Amino acid sequence: MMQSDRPMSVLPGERERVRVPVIRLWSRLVVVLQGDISDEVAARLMDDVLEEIRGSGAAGLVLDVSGILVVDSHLVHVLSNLAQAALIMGTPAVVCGMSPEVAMTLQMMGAEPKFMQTALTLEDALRRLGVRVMVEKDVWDRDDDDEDGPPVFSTEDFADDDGGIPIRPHADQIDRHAHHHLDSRKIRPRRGR
Amino acid sequence: MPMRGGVGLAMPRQQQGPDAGLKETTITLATEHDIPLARQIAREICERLATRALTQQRLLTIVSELGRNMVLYAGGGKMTIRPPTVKSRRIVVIATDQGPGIPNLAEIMAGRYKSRSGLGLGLLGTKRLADSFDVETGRGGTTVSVEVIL
Repeated sequence: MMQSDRPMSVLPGERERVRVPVIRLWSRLVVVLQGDISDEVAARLMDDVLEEIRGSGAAGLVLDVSGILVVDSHLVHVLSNLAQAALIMGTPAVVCGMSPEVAMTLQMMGAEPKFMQTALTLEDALRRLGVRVMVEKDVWDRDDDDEDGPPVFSTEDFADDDGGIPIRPHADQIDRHAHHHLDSRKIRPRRGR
Repeated sequence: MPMRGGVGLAMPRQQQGPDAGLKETTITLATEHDIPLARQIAREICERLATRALTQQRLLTIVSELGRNMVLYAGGGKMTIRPPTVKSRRIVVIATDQGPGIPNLAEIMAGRYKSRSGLGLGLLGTKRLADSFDVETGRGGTTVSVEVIL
């Protein structure tokens, strides 16, 4: 059997080092769960994340489960409790990245997560929590010899302001600026998912 | 299989055909720290057999639920994971413990039980995920046998 990719949590002496990263992103917290989540890590997750919410005053919490090896009934219970506790504190939580096989397995065993908002992707989750992102195409296509001229903005929610909290201090100004200078034809129409 | 604390004996088994080399493995689960190892062994079997993602998720979830049950309620136990053979295209999981048995088995299997630490779905969820499921329990302990067809 392969020794190289054994889960970290069973390596003697390395248990303590397993830590779930909590990323602060536009005053939201993003928790990325990956690999084999031991019961110990799951138990600590609740304390750590709730404490981080208090310390950061985050306006939202995203739990990204796309990289988790197994989501069993225990882990669903932990995630659901965490999401509820965060909401009780005043921070809405969204779980994203449930894979088809995880979704089917949970449904088969009757462990559908309750009281838990879910989103397909990390981007969807952030959008759900009021983050609006503007992407400048030019950043990636430097040698794009399009004759188009000004950069094309590909955000879907460009003109959609349903009360999301500004991403950063100048987000409003940037938006207005963009509107002012851009031909409306250069803005892609909103697309449904 | 590398040997460490929780790992019990790995019993070699003669096999021919495409699955040769996959051995039946028995793991001793004493604490929750041993559960990831059980999942890892099940995962390696699935990866070697290139099973469907859903089959792997079902098997790993079963192993996880049964392992946790033994650790939480029976003070630990042993789990045997038997890879498929040429004749029998199924993975077998047998979880055996010498715990106090499950007095409220009927209640659990009827879905009327909710544990304090979880959803109360360890056994019932396992049954729903498995292609065949059998549980024998008494004062001398509990044995749960499960099959997942490839």
